[in-house]
Amino acid sequence: MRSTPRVTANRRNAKMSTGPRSQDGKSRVARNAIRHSLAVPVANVYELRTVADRLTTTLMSSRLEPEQAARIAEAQVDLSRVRQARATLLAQALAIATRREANPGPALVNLLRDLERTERYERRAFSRRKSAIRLNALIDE
Amino acid sequence: MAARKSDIPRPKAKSRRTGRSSPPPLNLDEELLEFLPPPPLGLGEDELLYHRMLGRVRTAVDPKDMVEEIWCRDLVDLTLDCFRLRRLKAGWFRLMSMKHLDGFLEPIVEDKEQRADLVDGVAKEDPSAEAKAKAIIRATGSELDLIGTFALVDEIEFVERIDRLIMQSEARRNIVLREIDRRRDVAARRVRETLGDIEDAMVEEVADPRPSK
Repeated sequence: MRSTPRVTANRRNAKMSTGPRSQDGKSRVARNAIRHSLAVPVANVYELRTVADRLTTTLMSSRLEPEQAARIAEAQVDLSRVRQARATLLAQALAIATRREANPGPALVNLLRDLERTERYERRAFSRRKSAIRLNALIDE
Repeated sequence: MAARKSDIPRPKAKSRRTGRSSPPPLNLDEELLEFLPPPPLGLGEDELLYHRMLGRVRTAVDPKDMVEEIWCRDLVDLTLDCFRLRRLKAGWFRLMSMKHLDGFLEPIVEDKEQRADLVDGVAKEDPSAEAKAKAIIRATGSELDLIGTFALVDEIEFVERIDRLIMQSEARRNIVLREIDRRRDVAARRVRETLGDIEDAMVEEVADPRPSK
């Protein structure tokens, strides 16, 4: 167990590192969540919600339970937007890789880092969709 | 033209689960285009090629419902993803090889323009430029291929990161294939059970012909 002075010191130190202090830094971190908008839930974006609702209706006509159909549709829309983001990033990277620029390395490394960041969104959406489909199959049985 | 199984109207029967009547048969071709999000394509990529690939996959899989249609799209999306990543890896490797070649030639061919022309020629696989570069490099006791190897060694981390992305896409594609197999297995088991039930119902119990004692 940690001693009380250490806990107190940790709390005092933590107060000194609570994010950016300058106005520029604060405005930059305020935009973190909307950098690529992949973390924004489908339900919060009207266009995406419309696509998901229509897909839900179509899935329900394939003998799927409404709740599972909605889960599959939402995950599918998430997957589609992650893949669109990946395709755009890859197209940019390929354009740089085929051009003869003086120093294309840093731009390509940045794009690769962005590509890697999309990976967890794809993994989560893919997993959500797989679980919903399997759950529906279990109910069906 | 032969009708597809999904186009054949199914008999109206109450669903065992919810008591809902069976839904009308799907015209999946139209609904696929209407309800699924647009294909994920980068700038300048050919949508026709995507749909041609999708057509081939759909012919092979023969999707029976919307879930299987989604899986067909997955197979195409993930295959294209792997293609793009492999092209990126090749492009990066070529770029880095040329950078290393330029660096290697710098102390030998001092004229910057002449060196850039030579490197450009090698990049475009121009035979005369390749022969000239090979001759220059051989005079120093090295080989053109070795420069490519050095580039690979220096940039192995980037190459590995792309390889990891390729592996992840391939793994997802394999999962989709397994899910299709799994679903087909369940369907086949259900068909077997149904056939068993039908056979059971058709079998009449035959009375024992022997006189009872």
